[in-house]
Amino acid sequence: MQELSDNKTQATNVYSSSSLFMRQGQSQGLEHINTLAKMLISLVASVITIIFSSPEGLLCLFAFSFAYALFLPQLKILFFAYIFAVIMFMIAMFFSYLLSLIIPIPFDSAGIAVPFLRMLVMLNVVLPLAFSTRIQNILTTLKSLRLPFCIYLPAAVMIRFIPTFLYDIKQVAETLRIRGYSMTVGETMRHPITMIRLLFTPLLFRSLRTSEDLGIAGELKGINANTVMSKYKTEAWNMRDTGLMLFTLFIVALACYIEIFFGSTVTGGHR
Amino acid sequence: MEQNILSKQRETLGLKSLRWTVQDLVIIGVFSAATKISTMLVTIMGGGPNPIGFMAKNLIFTTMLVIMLYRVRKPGTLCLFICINLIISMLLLGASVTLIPSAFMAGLLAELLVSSSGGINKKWGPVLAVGAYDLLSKIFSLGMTWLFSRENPAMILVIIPIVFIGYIGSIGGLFTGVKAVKELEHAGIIR
Repeated sequence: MQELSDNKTQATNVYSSSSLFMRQGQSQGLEHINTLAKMLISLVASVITIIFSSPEGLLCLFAFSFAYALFLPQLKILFFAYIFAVIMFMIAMFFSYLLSLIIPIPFDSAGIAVPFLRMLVMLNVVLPLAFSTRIQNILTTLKSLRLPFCIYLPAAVMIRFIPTFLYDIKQVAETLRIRGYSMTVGETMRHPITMIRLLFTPLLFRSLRTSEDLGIAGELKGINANTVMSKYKTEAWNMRDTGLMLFTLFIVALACYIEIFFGSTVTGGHR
Repeated sequence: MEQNILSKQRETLGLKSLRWTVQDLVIIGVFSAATKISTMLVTIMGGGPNPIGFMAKNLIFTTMLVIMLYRVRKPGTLCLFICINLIISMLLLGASVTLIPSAFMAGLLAELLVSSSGGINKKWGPVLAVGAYDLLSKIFSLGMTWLFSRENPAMILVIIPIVFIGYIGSIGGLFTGVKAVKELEHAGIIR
């Protein structure tokens, strides 16, 4: 009984005290940076990586973004993400090499490296955001963006329920393990439809039930576009955030300079 | 005042309100979270990029989308769902801003197609919307991939089969979505 009550408390506390993909209690080096600042860095990186096409400019961005990612206390996550990226890069190299054997055009590894540099820059800025920001701070920042009600409400619900669903899935997986199902990659590859049904059906019913309950609660509380919502907690923008944003602008300017004056044109082997 | 009269007139005529209620918005939000989590889970459980993983991911996404559209059968729901997913992906998950025009355009065109073929309230309206969105988004995202990997267009040749495999999963998702909706209708969850 006590265990059940503990589980329930854990489920309800999952959101209030944790970040999007992380549990309470883990130390967070980037926690004190304003959420909006981290979001802006992520946004700037996603735009600038598309514009840049030379390895030199992207290498500059990569170096600084990597230094930023090193502030993440869970370096294990960064390490695994890099292993995954390297595997993807090897696969792309292998297939491009195979294509170069079929199509008589020289194989160019630099041309393949540029899209992966873009991916790594994004990885370096997104991981600190996802693993060091509390959900409440994300919701507060989302509110401060003054989005229309029809966008804000579903977005808030979405962010709020990601950790809850993760917790639910863990519980479903535990139940399946008790019933004798093996939840390994090999088993998933052998019986993909069974695994999808076993995990997906409870999640679907949970979604339908949650949306029903939450929707009724919202209607009863009279929540609508005209409701004035008070902020639970405000996140102050301080000098450190301003400094970080100015430094980001400096890095972008430096990378632009390198891209324009020192950037080599990558044509790739199959252009 | 005029709006109230219009909504009352609609109610007396037995027509559904075209504006999203709080419940509709909550459903969209919950389904967005469930879709994101289940596709993420498939990626992790599938052990990285592989054809079965791609198919399963698309199958789940399409199934969820079909169920959600049958649950919230109002024009613009698909666009709103896409918009929310993109905002969250862009701000928190680092998705590129270039994905916004392609996905939003696909959603908008799918909505236009559905409204020109009788509206979302027709029997197959949601399925048509999701089917059109899946196809168009895949085409537009290939265009965006070309932009992203323009230094080495050969990579597109590698990506095309992956997208095609994913699309097979999406087509499968339309059937599983319809089947799930029938079950849910039978259970009285979707009316």
